Amino acid sequence: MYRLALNMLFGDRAKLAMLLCGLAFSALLMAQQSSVFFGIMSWTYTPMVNIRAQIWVSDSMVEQVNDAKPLRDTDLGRVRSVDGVAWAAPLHTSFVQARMQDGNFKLITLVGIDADTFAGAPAVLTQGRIEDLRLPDTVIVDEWGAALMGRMGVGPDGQPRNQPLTVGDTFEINDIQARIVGICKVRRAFTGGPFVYTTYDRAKGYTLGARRTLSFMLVEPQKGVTPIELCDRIERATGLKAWTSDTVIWSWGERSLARNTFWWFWTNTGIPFSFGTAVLLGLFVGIAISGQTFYSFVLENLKYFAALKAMGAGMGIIARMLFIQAFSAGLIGFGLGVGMAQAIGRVMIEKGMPPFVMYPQILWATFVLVLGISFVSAVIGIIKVSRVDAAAVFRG
Amino acid sequence: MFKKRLLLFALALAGAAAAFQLTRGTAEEAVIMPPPYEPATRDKDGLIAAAGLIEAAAENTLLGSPTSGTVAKVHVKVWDKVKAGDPILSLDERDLRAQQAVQQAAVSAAEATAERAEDAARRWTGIKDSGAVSAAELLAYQMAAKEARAKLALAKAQLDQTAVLLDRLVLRSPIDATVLQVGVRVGEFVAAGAKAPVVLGDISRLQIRCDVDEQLATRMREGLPAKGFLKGESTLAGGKDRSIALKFVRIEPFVIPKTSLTGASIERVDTRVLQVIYQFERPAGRTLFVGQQMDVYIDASQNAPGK
Amino acid sequence: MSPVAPIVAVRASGVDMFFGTPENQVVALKQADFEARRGELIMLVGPSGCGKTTLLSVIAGTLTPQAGTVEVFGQRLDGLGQEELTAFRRKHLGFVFQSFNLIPTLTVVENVMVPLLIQGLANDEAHARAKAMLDQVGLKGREDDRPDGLSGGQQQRVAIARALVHEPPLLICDEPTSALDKDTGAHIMQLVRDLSRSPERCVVVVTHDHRIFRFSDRIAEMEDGRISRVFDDPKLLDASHL
Repeated sequence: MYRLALNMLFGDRAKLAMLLCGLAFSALLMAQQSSVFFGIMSWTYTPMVNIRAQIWVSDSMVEQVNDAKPLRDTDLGRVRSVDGVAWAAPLHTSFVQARMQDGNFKLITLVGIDADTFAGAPAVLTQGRIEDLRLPDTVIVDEWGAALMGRMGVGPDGQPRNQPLTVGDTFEINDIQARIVGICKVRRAFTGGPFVYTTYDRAKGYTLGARRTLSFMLVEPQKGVTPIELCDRIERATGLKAWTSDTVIWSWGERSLARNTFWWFWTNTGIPFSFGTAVLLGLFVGIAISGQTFYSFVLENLKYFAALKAMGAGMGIIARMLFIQAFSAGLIGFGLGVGMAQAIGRVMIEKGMPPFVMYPQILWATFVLVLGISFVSAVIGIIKVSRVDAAAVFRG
Repeated sequence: MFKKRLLLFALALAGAAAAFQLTRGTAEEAVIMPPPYEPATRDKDGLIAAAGLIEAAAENTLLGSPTSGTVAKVHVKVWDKVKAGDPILSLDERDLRAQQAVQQAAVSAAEATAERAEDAARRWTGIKDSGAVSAAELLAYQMAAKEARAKLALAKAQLDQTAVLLDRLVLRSPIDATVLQVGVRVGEFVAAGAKAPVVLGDISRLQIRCDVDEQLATRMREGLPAKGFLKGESTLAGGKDRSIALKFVRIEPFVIPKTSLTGASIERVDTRVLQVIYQFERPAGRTLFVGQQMDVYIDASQNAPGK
Repeated sequence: MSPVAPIVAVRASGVDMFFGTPENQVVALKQADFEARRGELIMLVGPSGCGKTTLLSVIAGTLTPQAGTVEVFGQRLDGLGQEELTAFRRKHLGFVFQSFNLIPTLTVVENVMVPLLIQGLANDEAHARAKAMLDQVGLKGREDDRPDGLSGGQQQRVAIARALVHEPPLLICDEPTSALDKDTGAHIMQLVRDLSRSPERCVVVVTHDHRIFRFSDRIAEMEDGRISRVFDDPKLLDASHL
């Protein structure tokens, strides 16, 4: 009987196409919009991804990674004095204006890393060597920033160069020359500025007038000490705030700076609202189209369902038939929808824009919601069929 | 028709599988790589970390000039070893030389005058009894001779003074030391009282001045052992223990505002620090320079509470 | 009414059935008595609105009367709940509808399999039996066609196959020939007669098509919600209506 239920569903191609379109579209909309949303939100904690360390230590009032409250240089000594710390390195982050060769200005994210160990250095350099950062007035620029700033640059002939900056090109930060010795590959940030890496000491020079320049400290725990444990110790000993660097925004861990940044943006900006609207829209469109189509499918087959009832099929069998039909359509619609979403996502990831982060949770949520739509559709159909009188079959 | 249905299911399955496969990319960012160069890693509990600056053991001498003037000659260059009394800088002495010549002439004139006056006095004293000269006249001659002698003495003293002034134009090393820094060239002007740009130091023994954050100061005790790690040295030697053993010298009694060690153009006052002095032997086969920074770990585990 | 007590298949007595609100009531059946025997083909005839279809629904257990008793093969229907009625229909009844009611998205053989599958038969067995049944109604080779690819007569044959495939003791036909032309209708009725002929089976046909009266064993005429006359010889009625 259930096979016949499927045959009934697949027999009407126009209706099936409509039904699948509705379900697939809503699955696509929900999965794709959520992924772009989480992609954009994942940009908020980009520094945590680009600058890797087990533990970040910040001022106690810091709420998120883009909002550094400067520390004193001697705080580094205090953190290094905490038991369980293997090493600690200074980190400077700030937003400064860089002046291009053509006089244009561009806001950049200046990152000053420890010149000794290069702790926090970008993982992938496409050009140049990290050691060259020890040369005077040198910086490493991220790929995207190099392309962006290259568009602003002026070539040797005085014409706009229209090609990415490369090793050897220069620009100015606060009237101090910055010579590019490397191009790195890092993730883009929500705040928009390209990442410009330099040494911690030079970053002090580039940010003239700033009284304190220590934004964060990167800390590695000793073997056998868990990051959480060490965070507790650092906070107890120094009164500073210590964070773990995991980027699992789904965790309940209060210690994750990425997670706190994510939720800070969640509660303090309108982004979740706008994307939530899009996701809800997907849900409503899905419910409307799929529910409507399935309902009209049921209506069209109503007299046959009535005949089935007359022939002795109980509501149990009919309900199961409808559920099978709805859930089959839901499963296929889900597969097609997220299939399309991931195809779009792959293109986006390839282009790097807009950001696209498809968490498994997004897919599971989409799955549940699409099946929910199917469920609602089936229930509406079942109610409709249960109200029809078996005797109706005799009336023409 | 059945085939088409299978195709549809397969398509959906493939879509879902590809989507779930894509989700695995979200876990990639969790990888943490060690820094390109291994940092100085502490392996013990109860340590006090401090930033240290290497200086000469006797503390560096910032040579000052007693007079203002133009530099005529620089006698030393950096790394020169000098003994106490060796000339370092000579200032321009032409005006004093000219003065000296004038004074020399004045001395000669005064000598002549004195000679003549003494001669006259002597002659008239010899014929005193002849009655050719009165007692009063004789006394006048004798007084004139005395005055001429005094004038001669004055002229000589002035000449000596100029010689001393000339001598002062040559700055000499007050100690046996090594020239660490020469920041002046011939022809430049040096003001009296300003810090002269020549730094001398005894670098046969080095010491390190450690800034301990005032909040850690309570844990500091006299005589604690310590280890130092040179900045930038992690790039030279990998794997082996690169620490330098430090010997306690003293704790400076006065907590001072810390000035940034980075040598940036603007001096930054961060906080107040307790300064602790440690000494160390120059390690064999390693190059150390005065003014280099060092990460210092002071072992306070002995007097850590509960240990 | 026959004085001899025959083997009664269906007995309805004193059945009242009305629809609508008490203020605006439509009386469909009023103290209707009806009886059908095993082994016979009985036709219910009468003008439109006389209550034929309502009586059929009551016998089929798809409507529960407000008053009176209905007994089908010894089973009282008027006391049963929905679930029990459904189970009863599943086992004892076969239906042939005026508008065929074949599911258009299923193939012919799948349509015929439906009653068997409802009873819980395995797919393969249901398929085999449905195929055999289609052979009997003369649709061999058309099993995998869709109903809308068949003529009206062929569709009604499929419906008959569906109604009889699970060998129900009571076959209910609602205007089986009204959508068909004269010859096709006659063929269909012949088929119904041939296939349903069994000493145990009772066939109730509602119709107002007098051309097929001759296929019946008895004819019950309805008027104003009750059986007015029963003709033991259909030819009498045939003649009287000509």
